[in-house]
Formats: sequence, C-alpha cells, structure tokens
Amino acid sequence: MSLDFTWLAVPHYQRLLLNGVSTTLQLSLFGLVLALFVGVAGASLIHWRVRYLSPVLTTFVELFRNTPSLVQLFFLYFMLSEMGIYFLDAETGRRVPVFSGFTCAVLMLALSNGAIAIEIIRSGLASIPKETVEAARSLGYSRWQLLIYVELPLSFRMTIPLMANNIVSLIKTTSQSALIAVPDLLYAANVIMSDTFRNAEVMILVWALYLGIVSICIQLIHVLHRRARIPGYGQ
Amino acid sequence: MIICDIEAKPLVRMNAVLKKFGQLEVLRDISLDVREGEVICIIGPSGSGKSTLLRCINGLIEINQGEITVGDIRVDTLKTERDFIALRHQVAMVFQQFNLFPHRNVIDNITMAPIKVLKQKPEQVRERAMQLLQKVRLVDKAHAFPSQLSGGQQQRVAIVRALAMQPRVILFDEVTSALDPEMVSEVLEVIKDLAKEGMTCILVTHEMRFAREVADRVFFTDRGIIVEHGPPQALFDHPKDERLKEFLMKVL
Amino acid sequence: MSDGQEGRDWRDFLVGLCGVTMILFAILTIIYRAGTLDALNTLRDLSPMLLTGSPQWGPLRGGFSTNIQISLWAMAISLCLGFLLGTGLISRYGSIRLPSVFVMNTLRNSPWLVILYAMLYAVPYEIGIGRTTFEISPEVKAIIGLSLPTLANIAEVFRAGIQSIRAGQWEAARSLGYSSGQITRLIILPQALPLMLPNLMTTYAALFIGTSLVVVTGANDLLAVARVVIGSGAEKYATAIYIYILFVYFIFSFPIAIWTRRLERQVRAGK
Repeated sequence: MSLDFTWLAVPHYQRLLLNGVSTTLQLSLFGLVLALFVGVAGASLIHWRVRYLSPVLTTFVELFRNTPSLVQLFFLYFMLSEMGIYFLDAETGRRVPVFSGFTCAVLMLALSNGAIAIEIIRSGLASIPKETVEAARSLGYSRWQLLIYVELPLSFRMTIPLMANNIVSLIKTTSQSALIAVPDLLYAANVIMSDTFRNAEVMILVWALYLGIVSICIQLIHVLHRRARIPGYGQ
Repeated sequence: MIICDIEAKPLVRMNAVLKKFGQLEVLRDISLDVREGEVICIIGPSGSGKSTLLRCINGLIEINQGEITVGDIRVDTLKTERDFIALRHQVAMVFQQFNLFPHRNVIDNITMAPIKVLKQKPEQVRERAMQLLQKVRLVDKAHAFPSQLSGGQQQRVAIVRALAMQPRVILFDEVTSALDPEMVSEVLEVIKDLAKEGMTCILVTHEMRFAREVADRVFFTDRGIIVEHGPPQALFDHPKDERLKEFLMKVL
Repeated sequence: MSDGQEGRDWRDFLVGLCGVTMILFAILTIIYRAGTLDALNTLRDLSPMLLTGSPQWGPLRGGFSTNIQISLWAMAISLCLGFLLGTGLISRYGSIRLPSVFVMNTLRNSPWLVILYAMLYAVPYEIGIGRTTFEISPEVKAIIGLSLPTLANIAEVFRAGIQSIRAGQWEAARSLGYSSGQITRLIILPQALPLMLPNLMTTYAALFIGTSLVVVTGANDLLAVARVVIGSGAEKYATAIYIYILFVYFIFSFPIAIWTRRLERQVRAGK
C-alpha cells in the first residue's frame, strides 16, 4: 500500500489545513472559557441551593449530560436560525445572521461541556470538609469570599483530572461543527478529500493532527496539575 | 520455646543480606539464625527495614546480595513458581492489615489455599480448619464473612489461615498494630499458645511486654542493620548500644 | 441498602424526568406559540418513521431502532476486545504493556467523528473471501467505528478495577502460595468485576449517546431519517423534531445514569 502525500505541498491545501487547525483551536478556546464560566456559575448556584434556580439548573445539567452533543448542536442551529435574528451589516447592507455556525458550535460546547463542568465543580465543592468551611465562616468570611478564596480554589485543585477529561472531550467534540459547515479541521479534511481523492492519507494526517492537539493539551494540564498540587493534602 | 538440640542446623538463616530500593539501602548486611522452635522478636524504629526483612524470608521481596535459607531451600536463588510454592509450604505470614479475602467466608479463606495450592483432600482440610478454629475460639464464625468480624477476630482467622498450610515457621508483621487495644491481647494469646506448642515464630512487633515474656531472642534493628541481639532480659534490662537505649526510653 | 436511599433515587429519577420534559415542552411552546399543537401532532405522526424507519410501526428498518442495535453490537464487541486490551495494560512484560498503553491512549484521544469518517473511507464496501463477496453495510462500519474508542475505555476500566484491589490481597495470596493465575482468577477478579460494573455502564451510556454520530457513515439511524423527513416537507418543524430527538435520547440514557449512580454508591459503601 503506497501512501501519496504530495498534495501536502500544495499551498492551497496547506492553507485549508492551517485554517482548519486555527478554527478548531478557536472553537476549543472559546468553548472552554464559556464552559468554565457556566461551570463555576452553575456549580456555585447549585451549591448554595439558591431557591428556584437550583432545581432548574440541575435539570438543565441532566438534560445536557444525557443527550448527544450533535443533536444539541443541530437543535441550536435550527432553533437560532429559525428565530431569525439578523443584523444589517452597514457596509454591505446584507443581513448577517447573528448566530453563525461557529457561534452555535461554541454555544453547544459551552452548554454541553459546561453542564459536565457544573457537575465536576459541584462535586468538588461538596467534598470539601465541613470543618474547613466552618473555620472560614467563623473567621468572618462571607459566603462570596468563602467561595472565591477557599471553596473554588480547593475544588479546582481536587478535580483537575476530571476536568482534564472534560477538556479533552471538548476538543474532540469541536469536530462535530464540521457537520454544520464550520470550516474546522475535519471540514478541511472533507474538502481536500473530495478534491484529491487521497482519502487514506488525508484521514491519517487529520487524525494525527487531532491527536497532536489533544496530546499538547494534556501535557499542559499535567504541568498545571503539578504546579497546583498542595503538598500532602488528602493523604 | 526451644525444645530441640542447641547444636541443630538453624531453620532460617540469613547471611550478609543487602536490599536496595533504588539508591536507598533498606537492609545492609543482615545476618541471623533462627533455630526450630525459637520465638524471635524484631524491634526497632519505623523505617529500619523490619517489614522488608520478613518479606525477604518468604520470597515476596528479592534481595540484591547475600543468602537466605529456610530449611533446605535457598530462597534467594528460587526461580520457578513451583519452587516458590514449596517455600510457602514451609513459611507462612500474617499481616498487619489481616488481608483476608473479603469475598469468601472464613472457612473458605482458610481452606482454599491448602486445597488449591497444596492439592490436599478437601475433607481433611476442612476438619483441620475446624480444629484450628476451635483452638482460637472462633468455630461459630466459620461461615461468617470477614466484614462481619471485629479486627481481633479477623486477625485470629488470618493466623488460622496461615496455620492451615502447616508451615514450619510463621512470620508476623506487626499483627497487632492495626487493632484497638482491647483486641490486642486476644491475638497475643493465640501467638503465645503457638509458641508453647513449639512453632517457630518470627515477629516484628511493638509489644515489648510480649517480647519480654515470650521471646527466646530479641533483635534490634536500626537503619537496615541488626544493632544488638540477645535474650530479652539482656536486651531490655541491660541495653548496650546507645540507639537501643534511646529507643527503649521512647517506647517503654 | 437503606430504604431512604432507594426512595431518593426514585425521586431524583422522577424529578429529572418531569423537569426535562417540562423544559423541552416549554421551549417548544416558546418557539411555535400558537402552532404548538400542530407541532405535537406532526411529531406524533412522524414517530413511527423516526423510531423504526417504517411509516407504520412496521419492520425495524432504521431510525432509533438502528441506534439501539448498533450500540448493542458495538458494546458486545468492545467488551471482548476491551478486556483483552485490558489484560495487556496490566501485563508484567513491557513489550506487551507499552504498545497496549499506546493503542489505548490513541483511541481515547481521538474524536469519535474522525474515527467514523476514517471507517467510512478506510473500510471497503465489500470484501471478498474465496468466491463470495460480503457487502459491508454502513451500519457495520458504524459498529466498527464506535467499537474502537469504546474498547479503549473498557480496557481502562478493566485496568483501574484490577489495580484498585489492595496490594495486601496480592501479598497475602502470594504468601499462601497461590500462583499468579490462581490469584487473578480466585482472588482479584471476583473482587474487581463488581467494582467495574458502574464504569462499564457509564461506558455503554457514552457509547449509546455516541451512536448519534453514525449518520456520517450513511447508516439509516434516527438523525438520518430526521434529515430525510425534514428535507421532504417538514422544514417548519425541524426544531420540533430535534427537540423530539433530544427527548428520545434522554429517556433512554437518563435511567441508565441514575441506575449507575446507585450502583456506584453501593460499591463505595461495600468497600
């Protein structure tokens, strides 16, 4: 079986791949930031057992944890385009949908992986020993200060491995945006394959690129984990 | 209790044993003899290599240099599974955390090894097991599961499990350290009876009173070497080495 | 198991079920307002097609039934191969362990969609053995594609389960003279398998949710049927159909999730 990678030398395809990688990274970054935001906010609200909001949030979490992200993506895409929110681009005078494919994908990631993040952070908060919380309260920390200075830092450090899985899952899920024509790495792969018919080679390269992105990310998280480690805690 | 000839060949012999974990020398030049029927207590501060020493005798840990002999078996040169099984027919071990198999009941825990490892007849093994259980006063718990027993009861079952293999020497690794104080004596009583019946016992222990009462010889280890050894009265009442004196002051 | 705990599980289940149903229904109403009733009727009419692939609840030719079938086949294959890979992960020999770790990590770090696309292009449409040719259907490609990451997950569950049995058990068994094979069979596996069960169920749940991706191999699953249905006249109700699909996946996955949490609690309590 001979593999022909000559198509890689063509600048057009190189550009496609680079754009694809860039889009995938952007999706991952935006998705991650929003997902963490959702995670912290949601976990805090549930942890504080805020009336009315907590059960609603918990239900949302269950909904997004137990349904496929691709279906969530399609649902968001169709719903938001159906709602027909446009804005008029002053320069061209054309109607530009506010919710492009990219936006929908980021939104899906924020909700789907955000729901998982809520669960992870919440369980981290719940596993902090009562004594620690009591001590902080008796020192005069308000609920906010307790959360920001004691509970969240501890919860983050304890749940890094689980959160790492979540982040890896997020990066892998970005590939689904190709199905709503977001020009990410997988989409680029499809374009190149339909052009060159070198299916095996393109898939191998793109697979390797995804693995590379994920591996680098895992290494970064390892470094973070080691630097954030509390000596002797939890022994 | 020694009941045999003082000139007889030692049952367990360690000669110039060296054990390193990476760069750390846990055992440095350990040499000792144990004669049949002797009760040996090994005492010393934590990290002095006592548990490692025991595990070298029954082949759980491989040594870097030196010789270890149990009966006619050279432990340090054993290779095949069959050889190791032959060794473990002679040497049994009881652990600090009991390590009973939680998914089988007491009688199974005791009888499985003789039946499956030594291939002895099930009925004979069962009978022997029940007799042993009677000696430790746990016959009524024969069909209970380990999680239903107290720590002291579990440890007594662990001792019976070791006895069921009919060993020539039993190793005890701090077997009372994980027990609540009320249960320590019931386990020590069992070991005392074993000693009276002539079983060769090597114990790593912190129970100094027990060592003084029951041991024939006591070894004091510190940082991988045997610093001093001798009859308990000599060691406890007239310690010679500084480190031993320091240690005894802290624990007695 | 105290009765209070079991009651709480049932309560969580019912609350979750009602809550999600209400939320989905609320979203439906917000979007379709006056047309909600029509939307619901359309969904009811489309159900047979979406769930079984036949217009009249007929033979199981596609739709959701395909997703279920694919997940079951993939799980069966993954269990066998996953356990095999798992034994490689805990092998004493580096020459077996290292490649196993590499394979497992590669499969776990690959996007499922990329693997499925690779199956689409790498697996031939038909293979010939002797004089007969076997046609490999898109569903089979999907099963193979989904089995790959799942078997890696199962291998990891296997490894974690075996290695979570305290070292003391190994020591005691070795001291009594058991051989390695006996220790694995009689002491370790009986204790490890119950521990693995919750994680195996989680793996199946993820696999099941992952079957939503098989549409790219050409399999005639729920999303494929939905696409056809939407394309042939029901664009108006596209959002409603996707809400419906979310709901269908939810009522299948949520019970499994609750049951798994219950099992996890029992396992932890039993330790």
